[in-house]
Amino acid sequence: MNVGRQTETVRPAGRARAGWGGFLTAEILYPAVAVTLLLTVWQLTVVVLDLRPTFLPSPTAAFSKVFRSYDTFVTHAPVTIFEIVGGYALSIVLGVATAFVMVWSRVMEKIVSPILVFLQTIPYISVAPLLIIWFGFNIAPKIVVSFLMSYFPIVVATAAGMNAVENDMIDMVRSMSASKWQVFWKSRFPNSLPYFFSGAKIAVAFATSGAIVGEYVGADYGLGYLIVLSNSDTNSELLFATIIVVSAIGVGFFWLIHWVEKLCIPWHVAFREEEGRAR
Amino acid sequence: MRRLRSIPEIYRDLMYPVVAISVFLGTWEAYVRISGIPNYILPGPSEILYSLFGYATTLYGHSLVTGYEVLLGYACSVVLGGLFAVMVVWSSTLDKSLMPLFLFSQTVSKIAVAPLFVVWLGFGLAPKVLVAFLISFFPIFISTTAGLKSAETEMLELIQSMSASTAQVFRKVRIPTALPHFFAGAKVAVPFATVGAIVGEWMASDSGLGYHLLLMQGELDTAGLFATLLTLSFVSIILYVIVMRLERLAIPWHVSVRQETGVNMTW
Repeated sequence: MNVGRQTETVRPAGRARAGWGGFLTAEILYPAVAVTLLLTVWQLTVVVLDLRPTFLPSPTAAFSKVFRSYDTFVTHAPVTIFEIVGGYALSIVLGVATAFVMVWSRVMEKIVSPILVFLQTIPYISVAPLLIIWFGFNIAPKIVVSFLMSYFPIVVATAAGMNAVENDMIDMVRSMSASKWQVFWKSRFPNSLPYFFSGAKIAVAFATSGAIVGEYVGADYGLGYLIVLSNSDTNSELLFATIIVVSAIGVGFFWLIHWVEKLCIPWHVAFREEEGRAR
Repeated sequence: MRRLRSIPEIYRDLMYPVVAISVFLGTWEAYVRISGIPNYILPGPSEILYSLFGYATTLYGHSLVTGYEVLLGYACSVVLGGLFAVMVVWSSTLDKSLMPLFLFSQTVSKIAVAPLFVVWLGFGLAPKVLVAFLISFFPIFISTTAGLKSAETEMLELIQSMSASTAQVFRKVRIPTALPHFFAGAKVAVPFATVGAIVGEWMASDSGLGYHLLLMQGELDTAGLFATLLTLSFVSIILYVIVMRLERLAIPWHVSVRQETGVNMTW
């Protein structure tokens, strides 16, 4: 079960130096230098080799295209954002409910968990064509693909978190004559929150991919549609600009979840950062 | 205590999912027959099975194409993911310069980039393999890196006090510690690689299961679509089981420990 750990153990090195100086070099300076270098090399390659914009547009051209095609993005981006939010919200509600049922009842755990192990190996993106037959070209199939993609990480992480309570803790709560519900509410639920959030952070990227792919298969609005359209027009500038917008939306959602996490479990986030610094 | 488990008990554990699935399929079949829902909307399980046999040779051919793409992309991910993880942990300079780039690359949706590869690499095998590789690379790289870094400090100090070289530290301590993490990442990456190959095929192709999916959709042959989905899941599950077997061969001590503690989730 490494879902719960991924976000904790992996952080840029060099964090060990305490204080603002260390923080600046590790968290901001190194990535900034690396990314600037990458963009500069890319820009120079395009300019020096005089590449056609259909083959590879320069980063400045791609970024400026985001603003030049502002109207296009204002039409298409909200559709995709709505699909992502819909699918993601659905998978949080149903994912947590599934995890709860699995942890609550032994029989359900025995039924669901072996099925889940195999279900999560299925490449869910591939049901998109089927959903188009069922729901048509509107936003419903995109929401469903987005949901299917982001559901499993949330179930698996949340169930793992609910199960990872120390037995001593449960014994103690029980010894105070807590009901089954109280055991859940007071010990399993708070314990599962850090796991839930790490699953939720992974899932938000999946939900974005799901919505985009749903639009690949059949749509007349949305950023995925725009990608397919600009690709068939060999309008690489617009394609790159769309990729930038999609990435920005993905990062935006990630930070939103991160912020919610900080609000809900400030003790854990602080602890994790402390630990990261000590490493 | 596993050896003491009686055989009937194992069957009893298996019984739960089998019964649940049978009930599900039975209800589905009954619903389709009773409601008379048109088969291009929802075919019954029996019709899907029938279609699976009808398309058997076609699906076999297409799954070879897709399987090849998945396997190549996945193999690249395993080799390069492991290699980069070792490099990043080996040298802190590489860590500082490569890690930000890898993390930055994670912000770009690989699936959104897929159409670009068709522009660059054409309609052949290459763009599918590349997408499969790009999607499955990161989980393997990141969990292997985490594994290599999670070696106990005492262990590292001990072996260094015996004047071990960096290569020896890796061979004797870091890599054995990292193997469970590596396999966890490798298992997560299996469906990712399949997704990559399918999305690559959707962009432009004339063979493969992803191509066949769109073909069936266009013909409104929903039973054929389900049959293709089944085949696709089967390809993904076979690869998954292979990785699971390899894990059992490579780190039997860890797999048995995990089963003892009753953690049956595979992520």
